[in-house]
Amino acid sequence: MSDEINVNDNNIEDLPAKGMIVQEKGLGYTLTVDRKDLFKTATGLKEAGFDLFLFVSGVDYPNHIKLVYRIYSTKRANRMAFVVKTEVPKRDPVVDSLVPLWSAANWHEREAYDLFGVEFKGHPDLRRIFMPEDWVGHPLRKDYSDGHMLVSDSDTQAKPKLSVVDSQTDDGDEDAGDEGKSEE
Amino acid sequence: MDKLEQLKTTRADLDDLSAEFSSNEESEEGSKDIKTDVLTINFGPQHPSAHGVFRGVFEVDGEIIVGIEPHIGYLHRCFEKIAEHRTYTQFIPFTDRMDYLSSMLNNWGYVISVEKLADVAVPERAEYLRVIVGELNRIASHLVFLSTAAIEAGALTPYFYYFDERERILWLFEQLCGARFTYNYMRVGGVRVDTPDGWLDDVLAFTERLEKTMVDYDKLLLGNYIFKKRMKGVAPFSAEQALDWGLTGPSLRASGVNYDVRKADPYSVYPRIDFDAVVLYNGDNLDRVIARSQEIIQSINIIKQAVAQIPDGRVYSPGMPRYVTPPPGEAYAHIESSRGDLGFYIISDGSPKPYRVKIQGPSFGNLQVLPAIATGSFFSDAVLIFGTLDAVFGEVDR
Amino acid sequence: MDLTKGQLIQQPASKAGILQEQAPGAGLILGKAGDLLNWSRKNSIWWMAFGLACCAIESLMCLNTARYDMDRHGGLLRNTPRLSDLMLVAGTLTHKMADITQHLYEQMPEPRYVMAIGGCAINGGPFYYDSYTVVRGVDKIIPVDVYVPGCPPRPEAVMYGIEQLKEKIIARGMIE
Repeated sequence: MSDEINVNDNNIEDLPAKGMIVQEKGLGYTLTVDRKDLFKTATGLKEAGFDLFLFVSGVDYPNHIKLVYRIYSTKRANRMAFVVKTEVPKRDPVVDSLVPLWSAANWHEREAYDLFGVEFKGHPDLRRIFMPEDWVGHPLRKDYSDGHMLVSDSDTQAKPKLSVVDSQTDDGDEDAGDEGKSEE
Repeated sequence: MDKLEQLKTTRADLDDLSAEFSSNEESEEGSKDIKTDVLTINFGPQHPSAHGVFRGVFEVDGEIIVGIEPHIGYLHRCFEKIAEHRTYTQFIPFTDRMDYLSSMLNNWGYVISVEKLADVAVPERAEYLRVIVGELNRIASHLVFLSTAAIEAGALTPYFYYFDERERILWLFEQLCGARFTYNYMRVGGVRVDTPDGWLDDVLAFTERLEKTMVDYDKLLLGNYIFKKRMKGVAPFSAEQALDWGLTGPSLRASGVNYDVRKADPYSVYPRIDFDAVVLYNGDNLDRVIARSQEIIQSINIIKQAVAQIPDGRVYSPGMPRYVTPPPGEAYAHIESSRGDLGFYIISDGSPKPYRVKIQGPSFGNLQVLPAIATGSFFSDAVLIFGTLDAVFGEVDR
Repeated sequence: MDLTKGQLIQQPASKAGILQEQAPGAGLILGKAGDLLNWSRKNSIWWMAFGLACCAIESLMCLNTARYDMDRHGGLLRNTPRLSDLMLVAGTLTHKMADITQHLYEQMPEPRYVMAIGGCAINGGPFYYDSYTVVRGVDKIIPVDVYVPGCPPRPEAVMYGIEQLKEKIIARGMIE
């Protein structure tokens, strides 16, 4: 029920950049910042009582990588969570590390570095975490491929398959009846 | 309810007993003038106490750990990449294999996120069934935790008893969905099948039984002087440290932070069920064990209420298409897994396959504490500390 | 004692694999050394638990508990490869783990047996496609004697696999 707090509540008065806070469907309070301001915003959040760093996730888009942080507060009265988003261009994927604020960011940032190739400035120990040290490439980027990986749906097959599926969903009754059998 | 009260008093006695033990009594005088070298010891990745494939490089000065460098990734199975190549429904069986000790809860965390993304309503009976199987699975997972904690302290007997109880839960699951271990039971919009006849009675009978036997098992394990002596006061972790390092789940609550997703961000039908989040205050090894043991009692409590409240009706949302195709958008939903805050962050681009699935596995966050928590402890306690963090490597490495 | 006068009863190799003779006053067992070794070997399989993933909990930990009780088959869990005959590879093998697996196999004394438990150890299982780290089958690295399919297999299936391995041990003459 923590998502039900009013945005104009006093609770976010002391938060940095409160004018830019929006409530996104499915995510809750979201703050999109420039990568230059990330550390400043995060410092403000930390001072405002957001003490539990939950994850940072990269998302690969054609020209940039979006970083999504989720930070939770156990201290504040309404126990809210915040999503902070920032973008880094693929040519220069560098962003400030949040390890000085939350030690928990350590492995999460190493993971983002390993799988997306985002470099975190100021990270104490930025190495690959899952893949071997000598691995080439960042596997969760969409264009990643290697000789070993077998792709089940190459692009040429995927497109017609998807359109068929879409048309099937229109006559959902038949499918629903099919699934409904299992109940009886 | 009397039994529960009785059980709680038994636990209080246990706590009193454990309070008798004074803190560390080792005298360090006399050993100061001995010159020691730092020795590097490799642990794993194949080690019986590694709970899978964990490698730690320990630096020890005499008996004291002065540094740990954990190496993970030996079980990196690329779940997040695979998710981008599967439809939403096809990915459900993969979530089983992530945190394989609590597969039902992983199923649940994933489908609840897709439901939030696609805005699907779930029938009430399905919600209750999810609560029942989820809590049963939490019990099964904690039983494995307790038995491995006992083995690592050198006690083999509790392992047989706890696994016997766990077999009973697996038998219930097998009746329900045909699998002992990897269930693939939840669906976007409900659960796969309704219960067989008399299954809920079997569940109740099991909880009655477990309530009685847990008293004995607790005497066996937590009442054991040697076990408590091994566990008490080892690797204490304060609430500030635990939050700073991003611990979640029973390990965080053992340090005194009341963060339980079932309470903090209620989902499903948990608001209608009366239970307590188990919060303890010492944050040492013993508290991390007791927290699990008490969570089993809370789960029994939840199951009993859920069985009493469960309505009749459908278990699968009517009109659900076979291929779920959520509208473009993002959603994050999280549940309280048996290890902590398990979240799924899903991005849809409007196609039948997710654009990105980020899995926030609690074991990953919990394991990175290890260097901070174990430095300064005895080397012989290293596997105990590692064990009480309860990392499952399917989820750490994903 | 004149052994040539004793009555030799040859039993089929699959049953006991030994020759038996009743000598007056004492029991005496005669047989081919290889059969005797195989017979004793098959009844005391010391296995190394090499748990990699989910199958390790389901197959290996349950196998030791009272309900399945591997000990009655003569199996004994050893934690080091240097003391074990059988390596139970239970779980998904990744590239990062592959070298270590081979290293462990080479540490085991001859004769050594390997059992691949679960779909992942057989051919990569569910992670066959779209996975950039998973080795598609442990037999790409080390020779495998028995495959136990399942995801994960039930403990009974692993026990059946061990029975199959026993037949394989008996059928293979080590000292000719």
